Amino acid sequence: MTLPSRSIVRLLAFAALALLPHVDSLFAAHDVEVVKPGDVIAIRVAAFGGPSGAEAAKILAADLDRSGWFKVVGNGGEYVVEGSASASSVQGKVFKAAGAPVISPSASGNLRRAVHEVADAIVEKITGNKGIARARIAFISDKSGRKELYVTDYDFHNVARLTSDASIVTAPAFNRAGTKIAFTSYRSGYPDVYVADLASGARRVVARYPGLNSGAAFSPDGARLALTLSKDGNPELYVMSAAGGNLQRLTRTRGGESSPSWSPDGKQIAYSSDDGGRPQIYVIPAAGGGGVRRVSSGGYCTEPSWSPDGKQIAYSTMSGGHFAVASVAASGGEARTLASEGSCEDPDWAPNSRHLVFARTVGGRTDLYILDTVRKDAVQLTKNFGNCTQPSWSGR
Amino acid sequence: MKTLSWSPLLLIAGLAFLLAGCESPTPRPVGPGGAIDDSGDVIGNVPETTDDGGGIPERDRLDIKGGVSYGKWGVIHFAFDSAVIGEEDRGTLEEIAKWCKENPDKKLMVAGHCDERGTLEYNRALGQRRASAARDYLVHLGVSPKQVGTVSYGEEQPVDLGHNEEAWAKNRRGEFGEVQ
Repeated sequence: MTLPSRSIVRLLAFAALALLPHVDSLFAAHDVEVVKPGDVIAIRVAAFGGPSGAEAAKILAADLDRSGWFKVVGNGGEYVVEGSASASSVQGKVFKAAGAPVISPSASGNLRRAVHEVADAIVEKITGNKGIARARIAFISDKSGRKELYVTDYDFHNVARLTSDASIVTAPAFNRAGTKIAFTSYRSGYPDVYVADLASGARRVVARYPGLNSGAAFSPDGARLALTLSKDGNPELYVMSAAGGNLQRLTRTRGGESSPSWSPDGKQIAYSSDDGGRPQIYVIPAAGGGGVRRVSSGGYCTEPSWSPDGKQIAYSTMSGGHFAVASVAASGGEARTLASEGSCEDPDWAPNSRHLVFARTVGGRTDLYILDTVRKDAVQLTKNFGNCTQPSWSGR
Repeated sequence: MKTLSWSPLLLIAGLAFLLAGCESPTPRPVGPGGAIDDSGDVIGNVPETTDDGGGIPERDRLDIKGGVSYGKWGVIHFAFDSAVIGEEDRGTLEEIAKWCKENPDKKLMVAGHCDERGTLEYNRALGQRRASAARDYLVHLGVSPKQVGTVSYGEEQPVDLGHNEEAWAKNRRGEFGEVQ
């Protein structure tokens, strides 16, 4: 996989996305070098000034390392970051050799989140690829004794619990904007689908039909949900308005359909179905009308996640009583195993289509891990937080 | 193709639940203070999870806010990854059908459960197919469809926490409860 010259086009798109509220930087498309996956750029984070400088520099170095694109070095370095930070703001300057600053990002607010914004601006400027330091992850933990919904930053800071349903909460999914989470709760006694708005705090039930309502996934534009309903007898795949209603049924099988995941253009949906025997991953047009194709090739395959760049579909596959995370080209073909130590389930691609979050069970305990599919190393995200499952990235 | 024949006799599948199914879920919204923090990190501006119902009616489904009393009847079981009602469970279903017909004012819930193998959402769909299969079997025996509701717990509520075939066989089940 290479990053061709269309990276400039992508950069412009990223520029629009990346610099949202507070990041102030100098973007010029022609400054971007072609950086290929697998490249590792040496970067040095110099001592930061200001009362929170040391903490900010530490967070930034960790972010740059986690991005996968950089190796943070103590001396030398192709790039050097200088900066300063107070408790609520951070300013950085990135130099290459002895030239003028390549980028001068700044951000304010919660220090950690401000530094994450700066880290993403650096990643996006130097590599042309989307940063993930600002992205958040919704997940389920049984820490309280019941399964409840939580959100965390991608480095397991700013963790918050969003439900106290004291029943079963499951299957969370962020919208791309990171403003809403769809999830399933049994608090009515039935599995119903809710959408929580993170800013207003409003929570609405959007599907409470007879039988099963679960597994909702936002369309890329946030206007629709794909989900599983059994209102017509058998669990089938439907698309509906994210505000509720306007149901359109997509499948009609004797098996069960589950875990829909949208293609980034919103035109197709990957899902799991056991209509042909053991569950496999299929792709169906989101507008309906048939034309289903299978993209997995045998075994027991569930929980697809379509990468935001459209190229790959990751999923869980059972082998020898355990699960592994695998990925296949969205057009089909040979799958590659990405994570298999312990039992690895429920992958979800990060906004950069490079990292995956998934749930790994080892010794009876389940935690979330973030895998860099290029470096092929997995970092444990959750620790001592009950069993953590079903992660979903924001920002896709 | 899974050979799920739609002849009524083969149709069926599981249900049930025992444990938490007996309790009536009590919504406890997070307070106006926002998130309950569990990690030492606190963030503000987190949802107060009130539920306005979204204006969506609870159509065509049994009111179970008063709870469901499971355990009155036997549990039926399923083969791995299957929602087919076994011959050995037909007697149990006939007994339940008789009760339904003799008590037309009472309501029955059927809960479908799975073993821990498989993934969460797949098993939630499989548990629903088990519950629906058992309900279809009861309807085939003459029970009014309006008298029977279904719920799937997937693999969320095992009765045996073991990690072996004996435990899994117990957990792949359908349970029947009287709506209170």
